[in-house]
Amino acid sequence: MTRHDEPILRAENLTKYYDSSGGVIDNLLGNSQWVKAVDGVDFELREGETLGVVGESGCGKSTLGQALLRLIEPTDGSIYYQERVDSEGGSGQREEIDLTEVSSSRLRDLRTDLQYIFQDPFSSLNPRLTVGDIIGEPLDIHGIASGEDRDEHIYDLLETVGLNPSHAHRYPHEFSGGQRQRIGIARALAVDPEVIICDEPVSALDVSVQAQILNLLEDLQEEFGLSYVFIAHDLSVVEHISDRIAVMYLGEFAEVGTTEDVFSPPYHPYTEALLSAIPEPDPLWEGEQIFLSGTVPSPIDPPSGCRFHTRCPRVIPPAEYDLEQEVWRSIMDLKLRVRGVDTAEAIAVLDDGGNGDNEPLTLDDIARDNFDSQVRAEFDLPQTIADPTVEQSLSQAIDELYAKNLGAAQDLLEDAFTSPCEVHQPEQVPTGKTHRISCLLYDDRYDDGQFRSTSGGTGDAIADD
Amino acid sequence: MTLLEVNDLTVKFYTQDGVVTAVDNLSYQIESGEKFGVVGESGAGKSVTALSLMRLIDSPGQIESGEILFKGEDLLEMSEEEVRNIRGNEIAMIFQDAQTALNPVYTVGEQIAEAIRHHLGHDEAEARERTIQLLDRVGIPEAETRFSDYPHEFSGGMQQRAVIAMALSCDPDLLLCDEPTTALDVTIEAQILEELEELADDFDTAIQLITHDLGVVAEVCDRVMVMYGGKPVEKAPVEELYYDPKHPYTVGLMSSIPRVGDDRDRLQTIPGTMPDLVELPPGCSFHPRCPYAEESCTRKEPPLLDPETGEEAAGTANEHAAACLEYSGELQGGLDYSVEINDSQGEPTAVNPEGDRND
Ligand code: SF4
Ligand code: SF4
Repeated sequence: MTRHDEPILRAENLTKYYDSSGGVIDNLLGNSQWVKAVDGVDFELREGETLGVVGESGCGKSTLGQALLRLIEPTDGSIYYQERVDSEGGSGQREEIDLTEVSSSRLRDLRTDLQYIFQDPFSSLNPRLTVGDIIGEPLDIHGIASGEDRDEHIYDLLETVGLNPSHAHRYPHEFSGGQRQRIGIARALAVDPEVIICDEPVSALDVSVQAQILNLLEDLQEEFGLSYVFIAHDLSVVEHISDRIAVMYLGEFAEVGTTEDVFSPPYHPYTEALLSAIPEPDPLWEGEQIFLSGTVPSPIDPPSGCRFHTRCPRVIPPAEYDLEQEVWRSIMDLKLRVRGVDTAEAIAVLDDGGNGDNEPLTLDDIARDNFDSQVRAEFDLPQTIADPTVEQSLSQAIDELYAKNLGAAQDLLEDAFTSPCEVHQPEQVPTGKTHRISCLLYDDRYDDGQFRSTSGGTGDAIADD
Repeated sequence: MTLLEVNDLTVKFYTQDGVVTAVDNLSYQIESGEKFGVVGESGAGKSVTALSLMRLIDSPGQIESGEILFKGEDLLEMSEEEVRNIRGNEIAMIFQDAQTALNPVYTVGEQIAEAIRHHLGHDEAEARERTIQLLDRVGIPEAETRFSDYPHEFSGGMQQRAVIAMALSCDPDLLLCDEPTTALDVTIEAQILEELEELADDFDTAIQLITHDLGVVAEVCDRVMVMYGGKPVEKAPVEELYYDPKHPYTVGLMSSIPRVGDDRDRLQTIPGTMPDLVELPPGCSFHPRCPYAEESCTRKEPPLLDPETGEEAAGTANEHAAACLEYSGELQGGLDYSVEINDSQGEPTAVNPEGDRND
């Protein structure tokens, strides 16, 4: 399998933006809003391997899979595929083609090498075709086989995926979910592909059936030398099947490495949180769960710097302060909340100690100190923060909130509390031969709990002050 | 105190393809404040069980027989009016799909406040106040502002939190949760499960948690019932089920889930697929897929038995019960599997030496 050093499929700066604006009028007014579903991803799939792509909903993993095969047109970037070319000297010669450059008819021909398996086997199978015709369709399109040869082929394929060849004349609805996924796999195999992108192929299946399909995919890989991109949200499934894993967050790769790399330290803080959240099938398991602040931000206007900074438990504090990590995270949460609200009252649910009347409380109903402690309670902040500079800035900001000067409070907080993670976009840092993490914690400029940006020359020193 | 007692419940659906026995002679009990898990794959009858408790089985479905005693009174004997009073008040439900539980044209706050007014007779201001506190309590930030948001302005996780707030608004005694976190991302799932557990403790609410996910059950439940083909096949306290499973189906389920840190190359599988509920296999309905099946399994339907004594067992309180002929001494070859505790993780993994008989 390692005849070629070049990855069989490789993408550079792969980007897919969707226009989410309302339509013609918005376009005329220049109101386009771009959903940055996949934003400059570099990607490598080696021959014979399984690369798992994990991430939560909305992270762009399915868009990535579809863009890789140009099922949707990428906005930017290149995709290189090593096509096998037959030469006299022997088999296995390959030639690189850029998929983004080829014509649509050439692309159709290349579908014999590049196939896709969908999550929902039912909606991806034409209900009016027999299973035989569903599997036969790619044979017809590419003129691979006809007549008796075609039937023979279909029976073989059904057998290969563990279905009874005599079922070729049945319709999809006569099969169970797992069997339908087998049909989808047979259809992908019909053209004898090199690469298959498996998009959540087992997430709609029952546990016991899921295991059957995972085993089948592994057997087929071995038998036919397939390379897989395996897209899924379930980390345990991905761990089981993948040789390497890419963890995706908001359109970018947060971490790429071998399965072992990704599942052991050093971690990207997002991966670490994901791993801690897997519900373990063990009632006595007492692992510490890492809770993330907030929710996944919108891909229309992703956060500056590191996109994970709005939720990251390890977000880096400014170098000048001496702060416990949780306290710093809480200050960030407060800052982000203040940035997002319309009125100062919305910061916390105010409580007057239950004196009976049920009128909604306003700031006028409670004393400044009471407001202060309720805000701190809401964000799990201590009543006094040990670092006096931090305490001073914080209580000034609370003063402004209490005086309903939302803008002033915002400015104070932004001035005093800006994380390097909001300013600098993390590069992919190699943390081992096969392992790369995009996080400032692994950046050279981070040392001993502090991030010091070297000013001048590098061009990313814009906001360092 | 026993809060809920289901006795010999049978639910059938009259479909074109024949009569589907979705739940067959099912009995179980839930104590007050207990967290009870119902595990199974699709077609096991777990959701139908929950709908029966709410008397929400619609045509072509029908509750054929049995009784559902809630605080000693039979829900199946009550008038529609009485049931409606209990529904949402004393028994609340959380579904997988939060979106369908929220009406898209009313704000989230209005809907919860309305439920509170309806069930608890609060006036508008009181209801609003209590709603905001509840939203805050279930972890919705800026609850005051979010009160007037419409459901579509909430993320999936937030919607499910709102549904939980609505379910808890009337301080129910029993919360039926049907795959409450299946549609959510894993980081959100973990938070919601923890929240649910904590709230159930605070509000002293019993939970019936229906799921296909053994990880979720392990995290939340005290006691578990495993269902297969409309029947319970095993009931046990949660630790016993995971560390000492007694039914071959439970063993198969546990060994077919991939686990982090487990370097088995192939997963063990349960061969075949879920049986057709119109025509269940005779005898033990698991026999076509069971690695230990013998001739007797095709003839005799095993009752729930205490695996130690072989006596009939209902699987209540701390009893362990499994429905396999092994425990009535009718199996010649016996069951041959072991549970391995993985050192690094301490997790139990059931290993079935006959291995993968599939494909
Ligand atoms: S760069 Fe900062 S915010 Fe991003 S993952 Fe690393 S520590 Fe967290
Ligand atoms: S009764 Fe027979 S078929 Fe059923 S679980 Fe036991 S051994 Fe298997």
